[in-house]
Amino acid sequence: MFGENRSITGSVRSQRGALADSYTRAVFRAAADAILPPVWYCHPLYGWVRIPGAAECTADLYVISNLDFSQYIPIDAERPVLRLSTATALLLDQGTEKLLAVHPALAGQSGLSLQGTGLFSQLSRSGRLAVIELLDRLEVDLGSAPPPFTDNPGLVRTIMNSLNQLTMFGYYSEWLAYGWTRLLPPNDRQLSGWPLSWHLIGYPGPAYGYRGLRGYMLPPQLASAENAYA
Amino acid sequence: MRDPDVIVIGAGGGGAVMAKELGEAGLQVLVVEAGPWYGNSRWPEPNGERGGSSSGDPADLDISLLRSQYVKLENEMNDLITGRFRWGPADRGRAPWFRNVVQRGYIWQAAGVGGTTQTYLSNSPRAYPAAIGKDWPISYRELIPYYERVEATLPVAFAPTTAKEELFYYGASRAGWELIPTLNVTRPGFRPQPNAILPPNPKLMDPRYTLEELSRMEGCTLAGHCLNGCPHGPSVDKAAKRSTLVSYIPLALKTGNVQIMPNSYVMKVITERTGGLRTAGVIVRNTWSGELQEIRSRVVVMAAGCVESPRLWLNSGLPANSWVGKGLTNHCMDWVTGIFDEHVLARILGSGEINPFIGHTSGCRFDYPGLGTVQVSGQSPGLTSSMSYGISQSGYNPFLLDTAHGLPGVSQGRIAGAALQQLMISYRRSLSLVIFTDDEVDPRNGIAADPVNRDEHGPVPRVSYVPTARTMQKREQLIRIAIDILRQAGAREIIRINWPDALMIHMQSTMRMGHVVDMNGEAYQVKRLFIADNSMLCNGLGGANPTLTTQALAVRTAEKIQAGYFS
Repeated sequence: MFGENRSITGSVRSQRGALADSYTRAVFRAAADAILPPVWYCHPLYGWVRIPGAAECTADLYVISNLDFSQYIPIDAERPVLRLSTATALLLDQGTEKLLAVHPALAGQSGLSLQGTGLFSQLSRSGRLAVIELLDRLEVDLGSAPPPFTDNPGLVRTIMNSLNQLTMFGYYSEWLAYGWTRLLPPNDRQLSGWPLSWHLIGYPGPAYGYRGLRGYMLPPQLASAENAYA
Repeated sequence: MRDPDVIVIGAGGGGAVMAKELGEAGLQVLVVEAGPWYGNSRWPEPNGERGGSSSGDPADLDISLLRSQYVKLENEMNDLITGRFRWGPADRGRAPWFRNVVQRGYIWQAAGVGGTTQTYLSNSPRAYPAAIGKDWPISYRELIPYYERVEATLPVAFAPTTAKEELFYYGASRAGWELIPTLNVTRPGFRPQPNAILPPNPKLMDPRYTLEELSRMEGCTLAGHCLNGCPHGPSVDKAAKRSTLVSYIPLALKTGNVQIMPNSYVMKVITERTGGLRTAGVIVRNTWSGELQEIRSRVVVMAAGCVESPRLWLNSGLPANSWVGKGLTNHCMDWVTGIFDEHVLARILGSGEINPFIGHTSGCRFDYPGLGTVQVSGQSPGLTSSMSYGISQSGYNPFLLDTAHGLPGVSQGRIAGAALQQLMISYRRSLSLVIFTDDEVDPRNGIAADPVNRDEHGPVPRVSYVPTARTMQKREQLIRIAIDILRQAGAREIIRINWPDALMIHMQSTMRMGHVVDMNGEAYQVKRLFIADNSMLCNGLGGANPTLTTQALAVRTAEKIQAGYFS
């Protein structure tokens, strides 16, 4: 949980997402699964196909590693700092407590009741999104939120967006195609083909170009435009 | 280079222009840049090892190296935490540099030679004349010859039409707007983007040339990687997308008078009292080793950007000024996406798909002086999903769970679940529009030195932005226009994401002319200290993309420096 160490130059080297504790991992898997769940899709060529969700594709590890790597660590911090991913997991559970206080029937609707995975992980997918929404609306006591969220509404809201954006970026960018190297530092990653998501949506990947020219609304030369200014 | 005439802090949109102009005037210029230098043989592994200390030789520029580093992959390039285009040190084993953004949002900037122009869309409109007339101590007319010089040097050209532009023109025409074939926009209408991108290679549609061959020739190949980093061209200085890395930097080096020192973060501007307070040089910290170095010069130009220039002023202990860091504008952006049916597209385009990844990332725009800008944006899928559906200040789309019937005509908010997968399956039939609002200058918005948090460069910047009520009204008017254009173009579903107000991509006006710097770009309180970045703009230019205006002002300021101190 307390995995940062300091470089000689004062910045921070965070250990990467694969090293997250099992509690944090369970919470982030549950969030990724709600944001991008598996779906059935009728493909025009292959018929009905099941598209794996973000959690099955381990996009949650991408979210964890990016949150932790972006975390600000004061250069004069005297104590180990709680990982941002773990703080986020605790915040999601705090939000879940608040949701369940109003809607107790939502508890445990995922069908899972695993020890040590927290309340959030045991909600249904819509319940998990409702918790993110609740935190987005700041409907928790931020005075008792874990640091660095304590009395920090801007960060709470930013991270609620980040959960969504990073899950999507991990899933729909080439990150998955780095295979077993995907959690290594970026200079050490090796690409192996294209991600499943690109095949699914028809993105061809990096291109040398396209013969897509349809003409010009105005000639390219700026001299073709009116340059007079009264 | 020992004791240069001028030190320029930052090799981005403004600093590179300043270096070229001053170098051509015969001055000895040292450019100090915090980030890495891609496409230079003195840094063959710019993210892996320290490499050289500086370069002033155009022969060091290497297009093969640039191709191997600008790999056109969005995670490798655009990840704001670990990507090559991030605000952070070259060593990607280290964390990005922290900015304390108070509200919901973040800042999209890149360190490195070329700065954020490495990843900008090259959109190079002039400011709206009415916006310059309002708050500025200089006139729009005075800017025109400087605009013309930058437009010719980059160069700027009107963007070609691909499917997404054709669809936008169709929708805008049906919505009742007219083509405005002008550079000086005084009335609303649509037009192709004036982009700093070379026109397409005339052989592009000739099948005797392979696309790979064309990518190594001069001219744009419509590859759609403006945002991911464009490495296409026969040499660095002839690359298609004209970031300053490939335009002004090579021209600066060719003067023989310019040295560029990457991986070097300016910690402090040094001053001395000689007939009043004036600059004497800078203290620089190497981002690999942490070594400090003092470099002295007769003139210092801050071109570190809208966040770092005021931060540097404050951290250097320069004289108090109530406008330093104040008055931030950011165009209070928003984003709307339309999904189209195949048969609708077939009727309009003769093809059932838009394929938003083809062509200039943004090749057309709608201008409305007094309100702002609407422009097309076609991105790779990870960026599309996260920017179109992943970030909002209005929570989840309330129709999220109604996936069986699709989304209603227009809806608002983040998308998740099965609806998100369905929307992304329609990626090739989607068209996204981004809006830039003519936002008001408000002194409550801006950059301050964080009273608590520090990094290796001193107190970190604390960034705050809350739009005014009038800005929000204009934003809503623009969104309505954008939605109407998509609807008139035939969109089946329209999703307005409602971006956070403090999502900052265009940052302007934190060191405003007339308040912090005078009409010549020189600080009122510190002689020989000039500014040449977006921070010196007096306002948000009415919602026009700011880079060209900053570059035009940099040319003008270079003339003033030369005339004032070196003639």
